[in-house]
Amino acid sequence: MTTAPNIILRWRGWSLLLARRALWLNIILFGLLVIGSTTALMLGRLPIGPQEIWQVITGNAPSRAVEHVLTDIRLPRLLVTIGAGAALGASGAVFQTISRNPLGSPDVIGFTAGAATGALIWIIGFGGTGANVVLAAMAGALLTGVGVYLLARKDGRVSAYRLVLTGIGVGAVLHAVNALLLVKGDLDVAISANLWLAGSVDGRDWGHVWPLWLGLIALMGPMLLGMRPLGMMEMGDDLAGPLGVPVERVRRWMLLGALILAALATSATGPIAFVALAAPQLARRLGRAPTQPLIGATLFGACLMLGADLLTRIAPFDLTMPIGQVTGIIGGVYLIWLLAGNRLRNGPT
Amino acid sequence: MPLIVRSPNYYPNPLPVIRQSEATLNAISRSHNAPNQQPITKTPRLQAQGLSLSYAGKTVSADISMGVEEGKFSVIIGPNGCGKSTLLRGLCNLLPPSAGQVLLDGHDIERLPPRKLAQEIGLLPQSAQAPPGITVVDLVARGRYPHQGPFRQQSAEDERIVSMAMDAAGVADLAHHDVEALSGGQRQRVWIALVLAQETPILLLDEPTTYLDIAHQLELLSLLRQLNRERGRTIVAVLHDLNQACRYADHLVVMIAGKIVAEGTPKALMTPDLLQQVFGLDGIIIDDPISHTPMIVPR
Repeated sequence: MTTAPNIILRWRGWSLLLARRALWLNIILFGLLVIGSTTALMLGRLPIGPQEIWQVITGNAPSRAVEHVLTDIRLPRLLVTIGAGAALGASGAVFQTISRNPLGSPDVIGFTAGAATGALIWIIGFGGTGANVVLAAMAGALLTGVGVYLLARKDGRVSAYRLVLTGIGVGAVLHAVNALLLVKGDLDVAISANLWLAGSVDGRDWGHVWPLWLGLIALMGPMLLGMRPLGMMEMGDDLAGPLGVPVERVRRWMLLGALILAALATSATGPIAFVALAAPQLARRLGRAPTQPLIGATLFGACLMLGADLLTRIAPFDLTMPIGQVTGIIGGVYLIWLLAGNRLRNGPT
Repeated sequence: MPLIVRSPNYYPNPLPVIRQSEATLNAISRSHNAPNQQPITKTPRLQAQGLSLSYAGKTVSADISMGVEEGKFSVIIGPNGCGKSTLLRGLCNLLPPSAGQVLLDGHDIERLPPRKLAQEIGLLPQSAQAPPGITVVDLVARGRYPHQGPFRQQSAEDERIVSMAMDAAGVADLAHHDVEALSGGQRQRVWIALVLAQETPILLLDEPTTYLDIAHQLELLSLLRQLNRERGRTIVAVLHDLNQACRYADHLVVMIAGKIVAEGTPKALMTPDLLQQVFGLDGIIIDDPISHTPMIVPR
């Protein structure tokens, strides 16, 4: 045997179990995030070096222009990018654990479509803009989530299978509604709605940052605590229940937390494809973790989003694309790789 | 080979205690059983009172009252679909009652905190899924969950108990193997190790011998009996094999159509009449030459 897979920290009656490989993965991801963030702050029409960033942080900005570009334009954009990625990654980890399905992510099971419906109704129906769109998307996602949960409920419990199927059904209906809204809406409004639908972090300001980050900070703690009982439920409710996990209560609150995270992310950026799907899977596979690693998925989500954003900004030939499309392309390739990889390893399934 | 025993009235000991003259099975009352068996020394910690259990509004078991024999190895038998598993699920509050209640030391288990209940009663369900990629030792360690907390994730005591449980279930050699790569029988023993690691005074097992070959079935039942005898654990298992049930159980609970129709020691209970009425099986009962417990021979 090589080194033990777990590190156990003990102090008096307290003990913490850390998976060695996952710990290293998280440290690496965090490092990448720091490097990526610095790069993101430097990139743009106004070249800003690391030294100037440091000067702004320490309060000795070299010029008003540099300070303005950094704190009012690039930093909010960066924080929205990272925050949305983190929220989607965490949300995806919870959804995949609850649904026991690597495809069970908020975008696949209809919540993202619900957020879009909310936003579209507001943009097209009421000509709304700005912060109100965020609220409308939030409301749409939450209503969809609660609706899917209630529809999937049977005898006071929600089976993973029913949740995924109900979500797919509701998502299909909402996608149709979204298309209908776009067709029926006024052309100019429809174009602005379409821009929102593409998913973007362009022009995000502190008004987008605050709700997202406050939600993240408030929810991550309780959700980390909830991840342990939720991981127990991967063995089936019949085993987790008698082991002392209040199965339905854990599922309900974790679902709600994941839903709020997904709604916050989607309302801040528009629909972002595949981050919620891919981040938990990548974290789990690379970390060889037996359960969905919440911190790993969160960090991976942030890295994926940031990577996609950097890609859109440094792409050659003016190939600038909305970030939602980039993650869609990356995610699609990832999914094919995942399925093909599985097939190669395990034979056809 | 000539049958040594042809008469259904053959018993090594004069035993047929249950009076079965009543026309209906419901009349086979527990009050009739075994006046000559050893007296119950301890009052049951776990009791069902007027317990009704239902799925999707459909009642599976109605109005069950029973006490789990303290410190005994009880086995629930009965035909398929008679509510054996449902009763086990009810006894550990996995399936909350639609009427009545289950009491642990006089307290309604529905009101007990789940972790507290899980420190007292363990259940090995029929279906359990190992998370992909988990090792045996990590899976067995999950049995310690009710004794742990958010910031008490793995104490030295937890580790000691986990390794003892793996030893007892015979999976210590497999500790660092991937559970997915194990055979069905090995996997079943890993699940057994998990519920052993839970260290509950009361242990419920739903068909624990499924997936095991005959040698491992007997090994597992011997292990359960050993836990019962040496550690004083109260055990309730659902078993399908009547001969195994008779051989290992101190106490048999017979169920038909959601009701308990008879309870008692195997010797007191097992009669051709019971076989006929409960399982619709025409057979005779002989003395098991090894364990001297009732042995069913179908005709």
